Amino acid sequence: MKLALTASFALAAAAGIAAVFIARDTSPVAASAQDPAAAAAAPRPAGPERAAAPEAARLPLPTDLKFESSDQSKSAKPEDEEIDVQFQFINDGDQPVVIREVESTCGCLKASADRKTYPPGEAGTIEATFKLGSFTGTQQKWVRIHTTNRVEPYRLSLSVTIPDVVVMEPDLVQWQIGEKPVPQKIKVTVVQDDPVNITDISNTRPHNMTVEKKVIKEGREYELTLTPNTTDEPMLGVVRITTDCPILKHQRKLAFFSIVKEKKQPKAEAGAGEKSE
Amino acid sequence: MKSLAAIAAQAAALLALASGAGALVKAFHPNAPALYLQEEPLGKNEVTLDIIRGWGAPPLWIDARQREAYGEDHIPGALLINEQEFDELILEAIEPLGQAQVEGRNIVVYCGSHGCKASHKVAEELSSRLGLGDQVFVLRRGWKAWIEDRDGR
Repeated sequence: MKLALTASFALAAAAGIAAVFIARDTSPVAASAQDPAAAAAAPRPAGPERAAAPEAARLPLPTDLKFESSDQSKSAKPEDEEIDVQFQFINDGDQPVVIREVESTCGCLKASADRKTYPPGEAGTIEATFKLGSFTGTQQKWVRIHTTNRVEPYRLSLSVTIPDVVVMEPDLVQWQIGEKPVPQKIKVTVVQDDPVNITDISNTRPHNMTVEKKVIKEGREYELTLTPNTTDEPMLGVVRITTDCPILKHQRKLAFFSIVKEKKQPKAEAGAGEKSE
Repeated sequence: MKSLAAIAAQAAALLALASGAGALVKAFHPNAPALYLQEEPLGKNEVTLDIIRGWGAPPLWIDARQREAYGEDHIPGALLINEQEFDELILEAIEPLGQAQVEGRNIVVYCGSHGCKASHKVAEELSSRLGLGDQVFVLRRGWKAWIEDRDGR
């Protein structure tokens, strides 16, 4: 008898703790502590059901947003200033889902939901606009959707490939302090169909760095030769080319030069292989 | 009258049963929440304000947030270099960055909070494209950490 009493008491306690544990973080009521709008929209049991089941002990049925595609890839044209993307979804659960926050990992990516609350069976859209700025290559950005139906946010990924018009390779040349100031070359290549000419070259250290241009193929390929006067002191600078490219954001290109204690290792390909947030 | 030992044993048994049931629900319930009891370990090149205070010399701060956020407020002396305006902004910042390189002064990049990735991207550009290497760090939790520290929260 004593054992039976103890066991039933233990089971009741276990059920209570488990229910509170789950309800604390997953019920819409719990979310309402942070978001009054969520509280207003959260479903509440009515009548006898309400009387019989304390809110903290209710286990919500699985509710989920199903996205048509949570990873999207886009290709931009060189002249594009921004890219718009839509992430379509549907609430396939039996509880309303409230969007608490749409968060982006980059200031360049603005995203928003087309409404705040999605009843069961309702479709919705997350609209995202990626401002390309001076990005080139493959850029991957993420949007996190914080909702009332689960603690972990939904993660949406956008990968955009932005073509270059002019490429400088390498984009960093280095000398070690005290080494012979031998000239180093940067190749400038026009990678789009229309020819582009270099109209100006400047550098931020004109007293200690000479930059000379050689035309390899007019409008297509150039070679810059950088020669420091001395490698006695550390130095960091930029060489900037200005071109007649009709697309404003591609008119200028930068490469860097430095005199350092220790040269860095050649860099691995950045950006393209980036797959995780 | 029960002995104290018997009561303690019963209480321990109850606690064990309840914990076990809770753990099972946590493990198998489809909506079980993640646990946030432990702080994530610092990532590669990530630093906290406490670590920075231990450096002795103050770092050169780089603000990787949007221009508007920087305009509203920023860490005193911080330079604005964000991802999407990198090529324009780096020209204005190249002199102080060069000075930091000469002095061997650390460079710390921050963005809005732990959720943003801009600080890591800008740090990677400074480290790799400008060859500043292991002089470049990222402030864990960024501007949010700075504000909380400044306001004593």
